[in-house]
Amino acid sequence: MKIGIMSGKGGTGKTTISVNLARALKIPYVDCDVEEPNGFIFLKPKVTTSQQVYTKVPIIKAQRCNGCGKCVDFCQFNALMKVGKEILTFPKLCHGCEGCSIICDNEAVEYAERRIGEIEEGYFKVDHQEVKAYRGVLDVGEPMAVPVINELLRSIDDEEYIVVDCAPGTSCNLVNTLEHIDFAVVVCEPTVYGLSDMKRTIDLLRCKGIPFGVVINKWNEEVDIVENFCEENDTAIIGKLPFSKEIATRYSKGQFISENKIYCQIFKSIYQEISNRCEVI
Amino acid sequence: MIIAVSSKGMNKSSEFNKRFGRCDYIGLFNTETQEYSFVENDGKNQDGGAGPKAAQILIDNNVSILITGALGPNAFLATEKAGIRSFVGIGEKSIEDQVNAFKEEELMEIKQAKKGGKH
Repeated sequence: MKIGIMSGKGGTGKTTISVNLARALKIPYVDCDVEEPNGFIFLKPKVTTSQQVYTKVPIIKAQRCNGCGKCVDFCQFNALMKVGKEILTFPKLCHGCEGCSIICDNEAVEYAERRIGEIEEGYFKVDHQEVKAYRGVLDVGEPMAVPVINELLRSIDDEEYIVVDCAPGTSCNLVNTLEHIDFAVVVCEPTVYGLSDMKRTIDLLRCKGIPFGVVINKWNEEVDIVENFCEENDTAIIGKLPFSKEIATRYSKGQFISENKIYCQIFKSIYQEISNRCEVI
Repeated sequence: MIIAVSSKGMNKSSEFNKRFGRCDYIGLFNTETQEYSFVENDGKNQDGGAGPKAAQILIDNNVSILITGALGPNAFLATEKAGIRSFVGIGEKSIEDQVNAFKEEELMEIKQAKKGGKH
């Protein structure tokens, strides 16, 4: 059962919620925010294996190419261009669909591999128990994260519950991650911006039919815009983490909020809400 | 020869567009017929590869000179390969003004790419 922790707006507390859930409940953690993974900063796992991730790059064989340009017309991603009789390739735009090779009448297209990132597996210790941690890291300068995300999620051993720390927003990084998610925790901060972006995430989850619950981070009882929205829209709130100086201090030092007994209880109750709802699935 | 100008609108009095890959239209001025024509830029709403897509429009229309704001790395490579020379246009002036400024040799040539855009 993969629990995806996501948000519309970035910086609302996905990683805070994810790493503390993983630690408090001793469940495996996966960092799918491969463009800027930060969960390992808190978990500090011992990394035991590392694997490179590759994507395909088209190579035009000049001797076989007659400059007809069929591949250029076909490519949906503008990774190929025709200049005179020559075909130019833009490797970073290529999505690896291999359509250019299929459409070519002269077998002039072949493929090489290009590294775009890596995935790491390891473990962190909680009370002498080893808990698994995984992450994907996209190489700096690479525009496409999805192949790394897919490779990462494919390589994980299935366990009863797994916490998946997702990319922010609702772009293709998240949409691809959602293919693997059974239950979504939407982390929201009680601000107009936060609420506005959360609505997009909820629309996406409803569209994809993924059950979800909302956790309000930096919650304070005077500001109820998120609660009002959830009540009006039949949306469950499954946890509230308060706006507190102690939490901010711990976070700024890279420490676990769940080491504090009161906050640990909040994470345990979020987990309880998730597993109650998951039993229904 | 054909001079291309990145444009916000579809006629010679339209405002110049500093962006190349994501401009709305590409104005084409034929120095022999002294006529303007305009092509819609299909690449402007695509996720990625807008630069190459717009550059392909130039190549398909036999453009020799491009007037725009700047070129990203992919567009720069493509136009260079195609032998198209690029010049920096004057902001907020019309398409016709850009062509006239080029004829008067008032425009600076673009010699390197700017940083690339988002995917």
